Amino acid sequence: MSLSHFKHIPKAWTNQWLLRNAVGLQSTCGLHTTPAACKVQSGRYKVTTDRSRPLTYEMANQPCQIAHRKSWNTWNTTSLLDGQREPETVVEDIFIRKFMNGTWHDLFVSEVIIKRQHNMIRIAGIVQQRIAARKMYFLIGYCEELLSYWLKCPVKLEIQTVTDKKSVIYKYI
Amino acid sequence: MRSTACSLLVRALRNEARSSFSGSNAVGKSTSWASLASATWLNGSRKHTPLSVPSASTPTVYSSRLLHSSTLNLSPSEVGLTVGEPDKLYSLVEVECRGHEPAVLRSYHTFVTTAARHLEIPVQEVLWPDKHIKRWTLLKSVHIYKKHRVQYEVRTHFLIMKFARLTGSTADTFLEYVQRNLPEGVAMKVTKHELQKLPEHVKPSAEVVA
Repeated sequence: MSLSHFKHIPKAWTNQWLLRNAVGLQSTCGLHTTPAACKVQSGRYKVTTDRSRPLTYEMANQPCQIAHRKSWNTWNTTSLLDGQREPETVVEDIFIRKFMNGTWHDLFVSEVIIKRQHNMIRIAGIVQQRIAARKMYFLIGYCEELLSYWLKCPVKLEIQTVTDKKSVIYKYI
Repeated sequence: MRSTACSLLVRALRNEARSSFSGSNAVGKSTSWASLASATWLNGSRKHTPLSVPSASTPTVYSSRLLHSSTLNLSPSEVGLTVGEPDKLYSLVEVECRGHEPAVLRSYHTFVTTAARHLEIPVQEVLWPDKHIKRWTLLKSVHIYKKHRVQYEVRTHFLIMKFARLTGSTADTFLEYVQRNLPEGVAMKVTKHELQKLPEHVKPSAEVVA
């Protein structure tokens, strides 16, 4: 069974698991892929003619650069030797990411970083300053409260904000 | 905050270590030290009178402010010491850490050995066993194309630190401090080798040559 069954995992989501290839990106458009054209295209963005596509540092480095130039987006002990609860943790991560991206609508400029330490989950990320600070505080409390009830453990949000979206752009292609 | 907690730890545990390894009177002294040391971390919730220990052996006066602001609040069940019970002695406490990133393990090793040095805990040995790599191969495509595969691997790096000659209280405090600062993505396994007296019914046989 190949990992491309999980087609809903977004392109830029990187994990210890997916060291080489992200999933669900090949053979989704009804192309006839010949063996010669069956090449890796995960986590890679096409170059535009007028070099207008912005990429963050995370997007610019491909999945093969994980543990070299890139780090992971989720930190836990489930994939270590004799690690436990790996599938449940993966599903929880997917849920947290969907929840965060939905609650902070179009505000995240980086990926959602999930760190599990002892029984706590720490969620980090960079957010644009497009809404008032009071609303941000409300959203932080709301996310922490609801996620801690759903996941049954203390959840802490460590959000950093940025005024301009352009400050996280690494290069244009 | 950490440095003040550490210096308090140093004073409490140094006195305790000195008394517990000093000699025949060790048992009596170490209980009082243990009760004093444990009382400072328990918000005064112990049943015995913590601060009425003979004044000759009192190192410093711990103000009540410190009882509530310390970060290392050991619950009574964790310490598990009562008046009159001698402290446990460990010949070896082995700490094994596992992680995906060797740089993280290296920095954690620096932190733990520095903390042990400040608390005067002898670090017997530090080992870096070989990494363990788990590799598996899957088909690249959903349907057919058997000749095109994808390989994944997961690496686990190890770090083993051995600390010799600890008392139970020192070990509990040190391990709690070190575990609270365990980075995310690093797993820890602790093995304690305890020294115990032989049970009374076990006697040397008459044939043993003295």
